[in-house]
Amino acid sequence: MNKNFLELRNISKSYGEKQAVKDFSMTVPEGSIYGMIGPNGAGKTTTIRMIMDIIAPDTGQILLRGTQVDESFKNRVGYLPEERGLHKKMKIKDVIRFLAELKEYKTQAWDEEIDFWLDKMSLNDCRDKKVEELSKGMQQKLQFITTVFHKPEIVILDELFSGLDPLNIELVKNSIFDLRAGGATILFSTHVMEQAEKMCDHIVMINEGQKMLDGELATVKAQFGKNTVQIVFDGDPGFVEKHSTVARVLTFPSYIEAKLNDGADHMQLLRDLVANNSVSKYELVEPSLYNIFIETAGIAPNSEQSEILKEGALNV
Amino acid sequence: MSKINTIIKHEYLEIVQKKSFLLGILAIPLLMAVSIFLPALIMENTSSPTQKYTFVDFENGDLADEIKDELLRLQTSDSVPQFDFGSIERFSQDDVTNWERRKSELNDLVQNGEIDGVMILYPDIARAESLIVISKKFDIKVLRRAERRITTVLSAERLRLANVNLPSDSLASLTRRVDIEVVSPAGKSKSFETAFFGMFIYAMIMFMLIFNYGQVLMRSVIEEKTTRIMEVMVSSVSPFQLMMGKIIGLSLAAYTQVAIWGIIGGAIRYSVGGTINATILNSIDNLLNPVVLVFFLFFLVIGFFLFSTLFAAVGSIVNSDKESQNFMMPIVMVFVIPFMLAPVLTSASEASWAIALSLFPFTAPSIMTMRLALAAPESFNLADPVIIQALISLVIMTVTTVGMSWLTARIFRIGVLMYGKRPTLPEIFRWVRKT
Repeated sequence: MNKNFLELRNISKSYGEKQAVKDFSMTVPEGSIYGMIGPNGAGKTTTIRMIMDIIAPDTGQILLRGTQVDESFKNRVGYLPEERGLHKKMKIKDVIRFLAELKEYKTQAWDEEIDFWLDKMSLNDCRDKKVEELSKGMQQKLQFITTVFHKPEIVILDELFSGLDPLNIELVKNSIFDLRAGGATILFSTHVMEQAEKMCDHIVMINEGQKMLDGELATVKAQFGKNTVQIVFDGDPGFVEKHSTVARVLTFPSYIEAKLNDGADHMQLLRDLVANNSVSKYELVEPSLYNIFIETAGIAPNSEQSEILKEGALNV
Repeated sequence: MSKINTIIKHEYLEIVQKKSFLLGILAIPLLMAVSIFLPALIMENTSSPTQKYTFVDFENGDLADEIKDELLRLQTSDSVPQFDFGSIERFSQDDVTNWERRKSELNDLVQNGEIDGVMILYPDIARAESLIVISKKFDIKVLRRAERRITTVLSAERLRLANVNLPSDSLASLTRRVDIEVVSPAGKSKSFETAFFGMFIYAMIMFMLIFNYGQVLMRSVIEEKTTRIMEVMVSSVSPFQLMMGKIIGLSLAAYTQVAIWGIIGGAIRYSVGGTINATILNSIDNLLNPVVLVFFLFFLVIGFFLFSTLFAAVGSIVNSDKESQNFMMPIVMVFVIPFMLAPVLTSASEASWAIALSLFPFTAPSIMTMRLALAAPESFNLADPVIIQALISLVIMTVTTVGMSWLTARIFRIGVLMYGKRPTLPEIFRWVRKT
């Protein structure tokens, strides 16, 4: 496995006055599921478009296995843009074949392979239907098929989960794990941190065009230590917020997440809690990506920006 | 190369499998035939009914009777007299008041439609250049026939005045018209009708193909932009490959259409053979002049490509059909102007403006083909100026097409991924400069 499978070196891109991506570097190891996370407008799509050679970076290099990406990269990548569409009037099987042929994919068994994927995505009876006859969710599954049908070495998915319903998210997620098991590298961007947390083994966090941190998910989390508690109890969240051991609190519908002050004794908090309330859950955990993001980006909790991110975090 | 082939195949099948393709193959020739033959057919078969005229004479005496009798011999296609005159109303030159009064009555009658017209022979009609008809109608066929009859009578009168006395029957045969028949150096007969027919058909086919397919191309680019397929496409192929694939795919569909027309046309020509009107047959044979046909195909192929690059560029920079209308105007004009010039071109096909327009790459496909159809060269003779000009024109067009492809590729590359606002001209210039 190549540790430096896809490498971005000091990429920058400006649109007029606005700098969309600033001196951005990242290294995607082969066979990883790599998540680019950050709020909308952070520069994720711009970065992906530069990898895809749809727009050219102002400065910096993009390397695949140590050599500059060229035209041949187009056949080895499967790309699902954030804004996506398919030829409405074409039949499903024809769309899949057409887009695979554009990747110069060759097979003797078109029908079998098409059926395999349609079956996998529960689109069994749609082979001869036209794209416009499919529902939006079905079209998205079809788009995913066309992205990976030609067995790409690397799959790049921009805002993969936007608009997918939970059932389809499961289908797509399982397919992604299958692809990785088959040796493919997956790079995807999302502002839904919860989702990234469940899937990725590597992450990079982007905010305002700049990288904030990256690495293996476990390492990133370990860096922040087990200094967070998830609490479910029947009392006033304000009690936790005001407690001397707590730095800040995030309120989720079913639980609250409290980050402790450095060196604080979490048992002290538990003792004070059970003294006055009925506590049904109290777990010391690693901070969520959302929490890490807020902290690293220096976003004030409960500010407008954090609310948008939280929506992303909850929108699973 | 295989990517371009995939796109070519996709675009070709996309067109050819549509019902509208079949419809176009059948409908366009039908439409063309109707627009060309129907007016002629109607003209030929419509009989003008008898026209009621009042005949007024100023002191021409027997000559007036002679003219009237001659005109009364004219018959409609239903074998009834063409004119119904009543008796001649005679006025003297000095009788101004009576005439003025009668004239205003007659004017009213014409105005009310009670009579079709008034024919007035002013004094000394034999020396006059014209006689006057007061009428609301303008039946050119009837008037021409009347003119000829009157000319015969007046010619006899003029001869009599010059002391040559002949019976009017022999006069008619002595003063009959002569027709000029134009024959090409190879001995083929040429006429205005067949020449005009030929150039019209060629220019029409050229226009329809380039314009229809150009719009199809433009729409397909706009559609792929608005449905955001474009981003998936350009992650697989380069914008240049995409553009070329589209243009070539559509060209092949257009050639298929032309080939089918050619086969159908040829089959009809040889199966109906002598059973149809000689003029039409002659026109068709004139149309199938091999030299013109070969040049036409070359102009079609290169012209199609040249205009396709324009349509592709427009498609790439706009976001909807509606937005494209502004850009379409100049492209339409380039085609409409040659059609407007067609009648003038028949008599001025060697004029310097005609030569200039046939060398200018955007008007060349229509104007040069028209000029070729008019000249109808029978062999590929390099001494023939039209052949030389056609070759130069092809070279200029080819060079322009290569340049336009380069330019369009640059606009296309950026344009197809620009959503939302339409770029301004300075922005487009910047795209072209940027690599």
